[in-house]
Amino acid sequence: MTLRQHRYANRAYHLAAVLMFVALVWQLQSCAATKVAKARQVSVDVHAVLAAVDDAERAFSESPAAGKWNTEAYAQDPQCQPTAPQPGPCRSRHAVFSAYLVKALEAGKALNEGVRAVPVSSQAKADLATVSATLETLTGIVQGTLPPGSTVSVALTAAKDGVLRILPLFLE
Amino acid sequence: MPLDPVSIGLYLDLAGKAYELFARLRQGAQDAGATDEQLAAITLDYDARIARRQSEGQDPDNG
Repeated sequence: MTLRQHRYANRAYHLAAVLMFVALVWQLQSCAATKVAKARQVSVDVHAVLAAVDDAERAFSESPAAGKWNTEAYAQDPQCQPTAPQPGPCRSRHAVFSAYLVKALEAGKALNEGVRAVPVSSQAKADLATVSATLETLTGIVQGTLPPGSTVSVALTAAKDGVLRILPLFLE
Repeated sequence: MPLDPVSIGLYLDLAGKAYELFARLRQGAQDAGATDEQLAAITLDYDARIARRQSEGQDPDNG
């Protein structure tokens, strides 16, 4: 191999190494950027379903059909159970629903804050799990009181389905 | 092997192009997902909804 050929071979090797490094970093950056965008979209979707549940229940509780939903004591209210540290009077289903919905909204807000950070905080996954669990609790509160076709039931079902679809993607 | 000025210039040029690619990818990620402004608006909406529910006089569940 002549000196010129040796120089060209060296340059080719160096160039190939640089291009491989560039391609590797590009792929890593692309993966990281995709995860961030996906996490942010999760927060947008979670907010949308929680807002739908909030709006549906509020509209129902303000309607003439609410009746007992707003006034009748909810026997399964944890606050009025004898085993509670300070058993108190039972609240209405609307009041208990509000309390748990606030928990879901707070978890959704924490999730929203978590996905704004890069990389996405590990707490964000726990917050999404909290939203999912609280939606199950809310479903239990409306069961037996509201018909399956009610706007609140429909919103809750859509919210649960949506979050359950999102959870595996978010945990990747 | 020591690098000659021509090679160094070539590598610097490649590095510059790589930086441009990364900047475009970062911008692309921000365009694909929710923007910071959208997420900030969502936080404000959460605050409003929580405040409205809590102003009804419901205490947090202690159970």
